[in-house]
Amino acid sequence: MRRFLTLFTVLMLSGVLATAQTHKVKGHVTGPDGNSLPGITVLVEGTNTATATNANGQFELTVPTNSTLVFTGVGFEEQSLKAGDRSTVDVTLVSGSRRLNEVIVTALGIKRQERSLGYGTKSVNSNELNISKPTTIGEGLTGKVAGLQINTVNNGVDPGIRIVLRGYRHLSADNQALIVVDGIAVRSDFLSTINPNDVASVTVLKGASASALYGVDATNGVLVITTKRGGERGKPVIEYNNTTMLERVSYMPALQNQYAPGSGETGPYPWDPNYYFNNPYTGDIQYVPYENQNFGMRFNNDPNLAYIGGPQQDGTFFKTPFRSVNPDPRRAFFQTGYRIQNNLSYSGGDPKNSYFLSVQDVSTKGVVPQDQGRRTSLYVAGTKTYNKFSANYNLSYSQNYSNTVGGDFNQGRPVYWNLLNQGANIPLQDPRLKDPNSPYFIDGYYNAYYPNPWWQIYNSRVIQRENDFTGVLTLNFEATKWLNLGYRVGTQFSDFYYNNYVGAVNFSPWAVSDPWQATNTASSVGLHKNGYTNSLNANSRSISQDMLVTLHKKTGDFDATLILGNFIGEKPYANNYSSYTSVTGNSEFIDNFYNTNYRIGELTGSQGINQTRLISGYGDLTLGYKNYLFAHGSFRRDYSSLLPKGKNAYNFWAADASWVFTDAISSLKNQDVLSYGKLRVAYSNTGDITIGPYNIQNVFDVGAGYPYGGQAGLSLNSAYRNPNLVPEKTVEKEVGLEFGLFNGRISLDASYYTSLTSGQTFPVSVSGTSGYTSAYVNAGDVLSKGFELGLNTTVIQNNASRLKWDVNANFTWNGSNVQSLYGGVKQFNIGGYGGNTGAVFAIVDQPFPVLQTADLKRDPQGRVIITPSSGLPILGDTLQIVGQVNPKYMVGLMTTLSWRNFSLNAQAEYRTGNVFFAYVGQQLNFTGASEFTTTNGRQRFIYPNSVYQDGSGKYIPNTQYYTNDGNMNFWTGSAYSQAGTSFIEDASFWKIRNVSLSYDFKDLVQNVQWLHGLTFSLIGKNLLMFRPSQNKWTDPEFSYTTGNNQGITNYDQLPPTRQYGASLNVKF
Amino acid sequence: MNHSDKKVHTFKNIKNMKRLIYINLILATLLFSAGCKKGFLSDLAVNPNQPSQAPASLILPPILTGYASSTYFSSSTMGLWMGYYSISGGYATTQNGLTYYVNSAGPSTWDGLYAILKNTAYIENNSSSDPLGAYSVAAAKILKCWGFQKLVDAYGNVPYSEAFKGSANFFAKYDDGQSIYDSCIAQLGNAINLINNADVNSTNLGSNDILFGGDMTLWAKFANTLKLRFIVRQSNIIEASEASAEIAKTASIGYLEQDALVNPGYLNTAGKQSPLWSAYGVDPGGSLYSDGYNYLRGGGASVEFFKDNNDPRLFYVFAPDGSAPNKSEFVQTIDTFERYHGVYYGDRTAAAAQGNTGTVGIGNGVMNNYGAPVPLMLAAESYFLQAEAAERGWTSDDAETLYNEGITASFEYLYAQAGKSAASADVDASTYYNQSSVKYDNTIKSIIVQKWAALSGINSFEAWTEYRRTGYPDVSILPLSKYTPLTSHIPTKLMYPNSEQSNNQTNYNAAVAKGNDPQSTKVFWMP
Repeated sequence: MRRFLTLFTVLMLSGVLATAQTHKVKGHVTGPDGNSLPGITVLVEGTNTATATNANGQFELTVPTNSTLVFTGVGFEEQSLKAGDRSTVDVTLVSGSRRLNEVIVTALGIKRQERSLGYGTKSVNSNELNISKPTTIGEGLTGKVAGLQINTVNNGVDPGIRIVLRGYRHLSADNQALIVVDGIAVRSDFLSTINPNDVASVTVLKGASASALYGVDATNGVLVITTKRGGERGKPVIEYNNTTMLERVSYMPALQNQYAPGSGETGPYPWDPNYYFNNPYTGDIQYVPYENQNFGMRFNNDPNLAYIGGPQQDGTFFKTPFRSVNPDPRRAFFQTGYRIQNNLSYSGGDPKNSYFLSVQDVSTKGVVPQDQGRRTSLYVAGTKTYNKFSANYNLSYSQNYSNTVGGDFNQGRPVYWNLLNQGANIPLQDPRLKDPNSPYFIDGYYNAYYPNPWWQIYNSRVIQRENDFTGVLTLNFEATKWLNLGYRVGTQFSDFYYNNYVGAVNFSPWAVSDPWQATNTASSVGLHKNGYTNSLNANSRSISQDMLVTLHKKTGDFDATLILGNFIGEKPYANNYSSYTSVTGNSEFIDNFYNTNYRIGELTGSQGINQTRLISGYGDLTLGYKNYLFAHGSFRRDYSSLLPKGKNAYNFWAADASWVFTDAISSLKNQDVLSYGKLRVAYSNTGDITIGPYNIQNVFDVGAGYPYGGQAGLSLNSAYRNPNLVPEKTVEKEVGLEFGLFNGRISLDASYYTSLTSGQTFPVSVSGTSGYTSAYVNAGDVLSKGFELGLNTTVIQNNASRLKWDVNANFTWNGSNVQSLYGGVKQFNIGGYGGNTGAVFAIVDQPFPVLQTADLKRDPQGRVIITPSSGLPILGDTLQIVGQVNPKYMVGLMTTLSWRNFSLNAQAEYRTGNVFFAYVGQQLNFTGASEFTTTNGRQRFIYPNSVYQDGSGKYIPNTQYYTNDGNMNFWTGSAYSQAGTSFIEDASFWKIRNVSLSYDFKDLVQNVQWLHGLTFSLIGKNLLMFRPSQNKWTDPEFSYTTGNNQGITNYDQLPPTRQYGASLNVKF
Repeated sequence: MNHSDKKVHTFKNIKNMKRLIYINLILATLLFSAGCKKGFLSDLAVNPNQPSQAPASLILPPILTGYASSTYFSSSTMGLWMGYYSISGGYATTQNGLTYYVNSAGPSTWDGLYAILKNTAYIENNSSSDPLGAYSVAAAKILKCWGFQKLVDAYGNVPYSEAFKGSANFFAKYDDGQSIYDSCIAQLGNAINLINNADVNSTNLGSNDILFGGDMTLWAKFANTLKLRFIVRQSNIIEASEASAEIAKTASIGYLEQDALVNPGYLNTAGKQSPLWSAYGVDPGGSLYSDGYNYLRGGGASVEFFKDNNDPRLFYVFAPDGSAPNKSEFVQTIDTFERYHGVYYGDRTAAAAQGNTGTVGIGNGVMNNYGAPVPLMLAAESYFLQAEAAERGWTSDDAETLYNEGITASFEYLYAQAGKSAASADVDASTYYNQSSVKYDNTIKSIIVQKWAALSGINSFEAWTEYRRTGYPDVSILPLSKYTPLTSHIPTKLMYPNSEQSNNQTNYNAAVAKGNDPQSTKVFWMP
């Protein structure tokens, strides 16, 4: 085969074969100890021509005359040698503390040698990021960095994402990391607009010490994203990549398929007397063909019950066997989605000038019928150097579009929820239910509360379109060897359009007359319900500039770098768009026409502007001694528009030191076992203003409902705005150890940190009797501690057989503790459902955040106490803390096994130590759709592990008192169904996030001059997930919000999915 | 490309590059100078989205519409307890909903009322210095007392003297209910004085007064009626001499003879409809609110009372079996008693058996249309309060006359809402109160039972409160919940909300120590 391919390409390409002069070069590569080194890559610089040394350390290569050879190998420093016209090139490689010599992009784009860094960072390069062909940077980073927790909170066409470094520190304010792209801060959701292929590297600045130079906003750590600027070597490269992935639902909540719709309505049904009968033992009604709950009789194929809904106007019935549909109609509703990425880039340059252009198109079809999305992006970047001047620029534009299903016409609920509640006997794929012209489609649809999901798919849509433009220009003037002047100006524009419309519904007079005497039917809304439309237009803009003066001096053993800078910027506040206008037409009177001008009633709408400005001055000093001891300090003073004059200036400072002890202690130098080692410490004192703009003056709202025509009304806002706020403070301490073993085959990076955030500026809930329900105050101390470990190993390296196995692992432990809140306040509600259901709290002396919910009354042994007369459990009086919502421990594992041209890559992640509340479980029990409700065959039962109190107050194990009902009354009305603890699940999981198998057509490439690379990969994502068996509901990584109140899932999230597909990468 | 070409090319580049650098340096200088410019930061201190000042006359309307919404909140809770409503058999309900269960997550009167009341405090604090602001301040005082009476009646002891202090005190102590009552009686007197002694040039509230259209005489009468309610409420504990002395102080002002109706100009737009209509009626597009109209069904106690007494108000308080406000039957009032069926509270079997089509819903006298005004206080209530004061001997008025006037006012209100003439209301009312079963029998009981009937669906909270004070209507009219497993008693108070427990813990604990049990703790005026 290989021979054929070679022959084929030679034949095809003989016309364009190179005519440049070439000659053969042989050589021998040895290590510092003189031994031969197998498996060292020998590359002709500026080309893709390469080979590897054989078992004896020897190589042979045909090279163009005057070329340079580059030798690389794990554990050795890279070395370049001019081959000239020599035919023999022997090389001795220096074993490497290579890792520590890498240059890392740190805060403000300052490049520093890794060995000089005194704080924890992790750099992820383009290859690592894109190994599984992610569509977003977030997806590419997940699980790869210790201390970095990325949650994809939903599935679907454009899922939300949440990025947190080193756990939570803010009680109410955002805890997400700051995202900086090429030196300018962007909204965190901007991340999903960037083509990951355009990224050169992502540096994760984990702690405040690393990010102090960013001043305010950087307490949560920073992701510094640097985009590509083009190649430095040789000829232009055109790269094309296609990745096509299919997506399928992997699992859904466990739904029951044994029992029919029903919930206790009465008959008889006017059209068929056989239709009505009671269970002689319980009196329960058996099957109600128009019921939305699923507490009816067991399916038994009885032909008398072969109805869905009642008769239509023409007297016909929708008949279907009285049994569950196979395959499950609720699962079969979902289709196979796909995501096709096409990526084309053109790059090139030399060490002085470079350019990079790319175009990407990502086209998505969702698992929900008719859901679709598309992202198109354009990116241009480059560098230019002339003498002492250099310029560096990039421009990017992206357009994101999505069109997904919205809420229903009745209660505005998501299609997934309406789908979950369709009876197991409803054949959703039946054309009579799918065809809008069918009488069963909507007019005679059987279900009043959970309308036909197909209606919703066709008639309720959410359309979003976003245009983003970013431009950054950096200029440098190297005045002298020791003085460099830099200037950067960056801007970002976004415009966002959102439209949601829900179509009008029409019912026939016949349907409205309630012919089935069902009381509540889909047609209860009347003959006609007008449509609805809401549109939002929003714009954001940020513009900023930095001026940097860099002074660098080296004398003797000392090396000093001082950077002085100034920042001036204007930006939209946090993730809010800086200006927006929203209009709603609540009653659109022309069917299928959605313009707010054509409505009944008043136009409703709102608008707003949010803007902040910041001026800063900063300095950054690095001192090096003999290239093994470094001290670094930074200082920044910010002036913000968020606080009143006189109170709006504040300082941030950080100091750190690093000591490369393997270079400092001569006995440790050039050792075989310990190849390098570094110890680091850092301390920082930073701050943050976590209030939004305009929060220092009390304001009036327009009164609820106002204006009523000409009548205006104003009412005091319920949040107290405090003019005396000061910035909060975070003190972070960190120590770290990094070392490499066996020529760097094993490298380890460990960090321990503590971080205390105090005097937070958050709106504490206050007693409504104060006139306000919340007030901005400086209060609340949160301490977090953590340990991070990164381990990179090359387990097997056999150069002779070209076999290599790398395993990289990271481990994260984060613990937090709320030390105080406000005054005597012991808890602060972050959000959630509240009441007896789950809500997320900050509670003094507890980790942050925790879920708190109602529990059943229990005896001291934890057994459930029942009331003997009813057999039912009793709802407890107070809320119980049930666990933290963020994982205590996270483990990421990545492995690459390469053999010859094959490469197998896999990534897995484990998270544990947290819980989540499955609202969908509580709701599905209520509606009788969950499998859980069949646990006791819908019969009365003895509540498991229960006790009752006898006359003397003793707790007696209950073996005799059956619940008074095992059917609907129990699942909808009992204390069990109300207690949130019944639906708190262990959120642990193991996920195999990515698996990819690639084949690199190196041999073909070597023989085809115009081809510089060809790789084909098979990719699988989220193929497997292991979770505790009690979690029957959903992916615990999901959340109903991207806010701090994680740990709650509901039916707004689609079910988890698997993706599999293939990717082809070609370089010319 | 030869060597010299390249040079030329780079030379061009330098030019371009230099130009680029200059442009950017200029830009930078501009931005930098903008940054140094005075106001670069402080320009953004002013909120462009929300004002920080407001005239009193525009703060009053939301206070009134806020109260209007809050009078109806009680339909689905106290409306059930008072026998006005039951929950449709077509809806799932919990044991709690059928057994007078009250918990701290219960009806949200507390936060709603305090949120409204802080606006009355704002007007009092900011307009008192305005020499022409007397009318605004008087209205604010009256409305403040209206709200605090409701708070005391619902919860007992509540924060009053330390409320609305903002950052000066986020932890207000709870005042004794009696002291709040005493303070309010005095404040109402002050409000009446303010109105009577106001500068002739005082700013008229004009059309911003969505209660009385700027008629301050009516405000004074309203204040006086409210004052009477404060006094009558204490019938179990007050000395007769003290009551009659207090009443006498302002007796010359007179009492409300018309319904105090709030109407800001409700519109047929989402969020702007009359409160009851927007909860239980029809949306602007003409569709029934889901979980709205069909949810609350006529209560057995109320329906049977009207039927037993040949009371034609039945046809306005309820709509006939199976009708709905978006159907014609709702408007064409059907006046045959046979078409009306109610279900007693807690009777799930009957609710299930009868279904929505076999029971009545809210009628068009109570819930007429999207633009219907909302009564803060009915004239009927004013008459019944006066009748009771007379019956107790606190005034020398004729109790029977006032009793009959109360009934007549109730008829007139319901008939007017439903578009019937006042004349027919008066005729029907007199036929009604001249029946032997209704005729005034010189008892407090008959006054309160008639007040209960007049408040049907209009103010369940007030009916519940009068029930707690007097024990009427008794079980012969208003039986306890039919839900057998866990029948309890009609609550004596609401529980303090969870928010107080979390946010005002010390004061909450002190208040709870004095009692917070809805089955046993009594508000100070209870027997």
